[in-house]
Amino acid sequence: MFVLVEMVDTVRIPPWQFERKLNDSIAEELNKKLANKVVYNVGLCICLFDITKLEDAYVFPGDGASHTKVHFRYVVFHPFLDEILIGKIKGCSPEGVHVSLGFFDDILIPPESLQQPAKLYPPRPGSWHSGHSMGSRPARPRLLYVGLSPLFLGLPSDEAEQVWVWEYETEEGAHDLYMDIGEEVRFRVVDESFVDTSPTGPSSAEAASSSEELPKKEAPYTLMGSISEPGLGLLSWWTSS
Amino acid sequence: MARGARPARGPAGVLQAPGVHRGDPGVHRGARSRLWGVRRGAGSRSFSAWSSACAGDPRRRGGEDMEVKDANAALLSNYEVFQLLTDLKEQRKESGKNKHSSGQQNLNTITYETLKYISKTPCKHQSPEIVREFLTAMKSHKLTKAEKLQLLNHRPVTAVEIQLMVEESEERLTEEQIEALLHTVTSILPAGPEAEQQQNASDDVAMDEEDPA
Repeated sequence: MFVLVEMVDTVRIPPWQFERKLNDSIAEELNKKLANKVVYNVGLCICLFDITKLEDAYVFPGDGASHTKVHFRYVVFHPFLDEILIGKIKGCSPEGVHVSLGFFDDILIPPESLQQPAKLYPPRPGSWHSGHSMGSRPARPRLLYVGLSPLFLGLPSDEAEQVWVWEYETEEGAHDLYMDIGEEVRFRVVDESFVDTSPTGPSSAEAASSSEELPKKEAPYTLMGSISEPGLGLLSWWTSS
Repeated sequence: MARGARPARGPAGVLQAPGVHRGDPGVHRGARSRLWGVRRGAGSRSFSAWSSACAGDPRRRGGEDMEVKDANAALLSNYEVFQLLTDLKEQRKESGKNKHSSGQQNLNTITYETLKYISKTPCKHQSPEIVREFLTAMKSHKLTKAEKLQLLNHRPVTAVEIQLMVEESEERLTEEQIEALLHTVTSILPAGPEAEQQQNASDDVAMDEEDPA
């Protein structure tokens, strides 16, 4: 899950910190710069592991601060492909199941990677979901929901609370295994994508502001997961007791 | 005028002083002695030659960016990260004063969340000796580094979990080997006090049942 990344950077120490030990000032500056931030094509930086090498520090004309070139190693969250991770379900949407690890939130399991057959519940109003709810929970009181769905009331359907359901077939009939919010899931990392969210130049900024639309905030680092194998999915599905 | 600098009026009438150059408002003799890396006796009078004598001046070259030398230098187990963050937390608690400045908030957040996440895994109860023992025991099973790391981080207890973490386990491991692997994992890696209590409770029940016999 975590890797060590070797990096080189120039750290600026302002003069009022000259009384502190150089190593401590540099460690603090590096953590201030990188902790909890995503570096493009590297991962989510957690904290400084150690400083490997400190080169000579220079003071430049017009600036009283010292600049030091530092070789250091940083702990970065960057799961490798096909790694198994355990996270909590944060929510379900038509895009899939959103999983979070606490310190990292942008994990998505798309509908095609869920245990099949799967469907989104509750469905659109007008179609009544049939099937036995003999599975892991009693039938939810959803009669009320279907009758008074937000769409029916004219509210936007984003407010509809939906969960993904695994329709597990056995000889007795279909069990409905719900993927509720807050449940722990074991999933496999199948893909990652880095987006460069550096600010753009003035010309594109003008175009954005003139159209009076807030640019969509994209997560700089997202993971795609899959739970379509035996053993994956909610932990409660696979515990033998 | 800086102390000790005696400007001499040169023939051109331009104010000249050793080590001070026109266009350098902030730099005077005192500051120059604090400059590290500048060759002493760089007597050149032109600004560009003098500042290029300061090796590695980033502003002249347009700034040095941060460079990633190796994005995958080593893999870390959850236990190592847990240890690192706990030590960091202890250190920062001792130093005390500067934790709450806005710059440190990111570090606080990420260490708190990551520590919270790892504390819920069995890695919390490991130690360097346990990890070393685990790796020596794993040598016989011929697994890749990534597979051993996953076994260490997750502590699987069922064959299904082993099949997830070990690639092509049907071809590489027989059923007895999977059982042996499970046994090694569960015996060497600690599960955590709650799970052990449950284990002890079920063992006691079994012992009571054997007594009458």
